[in-house]
Amino acid sequence: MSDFFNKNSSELTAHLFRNTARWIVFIAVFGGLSMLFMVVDPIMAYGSDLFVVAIVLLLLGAIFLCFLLFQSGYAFLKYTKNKDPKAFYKGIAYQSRYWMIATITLLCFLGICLLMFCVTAIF
Amino acid sequence: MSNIHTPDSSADQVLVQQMQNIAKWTRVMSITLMSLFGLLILGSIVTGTANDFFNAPVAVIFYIAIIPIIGGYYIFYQLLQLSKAYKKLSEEPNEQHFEEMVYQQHNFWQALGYLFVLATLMQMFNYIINILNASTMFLMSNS
Repeated sequence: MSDFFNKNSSELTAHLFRNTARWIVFIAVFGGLSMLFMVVDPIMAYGSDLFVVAIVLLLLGAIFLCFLLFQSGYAFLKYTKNKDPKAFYKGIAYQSRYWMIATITLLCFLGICLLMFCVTAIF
Repeated sequence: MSNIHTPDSSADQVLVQQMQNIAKWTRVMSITLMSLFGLLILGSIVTGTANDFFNAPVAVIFYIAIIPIIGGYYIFYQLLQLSKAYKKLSEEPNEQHFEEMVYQQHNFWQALGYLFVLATLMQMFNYIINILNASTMFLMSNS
């Protein structure tokens, strides 16, 4: 494999890796902040209705996902500075958790929507 | 490869397993979102709500329909490619597959980041237009 790579391609990959980590951190921070504002807004406007509670819980889940995303991006950024493989492992582990929770949440959300649709259609 | 660490099939079993997990979940997510998006578009065409888009001015069609459809599908496609890259890397961990994964990961997060910035700018644009409208109305009513 050493023939395949030269120093330039390795530099490019490292640069791409750093850029990716920056994008991840950017999305996590701004996504988390906008979700936070969205949590505050319904509480201030509508109080504690059951529907609002559901939305707030959903948004809190999204904030937790943004936190996981931030942790992975931050670990990758740290890794590009220190070249410590442990940080790389940490970043991958956080990403794995992020995708697992995000997919399960999405599927649950779709399931609930489908259930509500069926209940509304039947009754 | 001096700059970045690449997984080794024998030493990094846990890492390879994590990558398999990422490949699996990203695949499920991208396929689910793509199908859902397709169903929504098909549903809107079938039920006739898409007519509103086609009758609307060009700018509205551009902002409301084109950007989310193209942007959304582009991002889901990138996610699917990322999933394939992770799968390939977990099956055969080497530097070439690692580079492909980094490249795909960069494409996906960058596309998502750009869409995020675009959505924020559109919101800001909308907000400014609303303020301008309100201030024009206020000035007109006072004159």
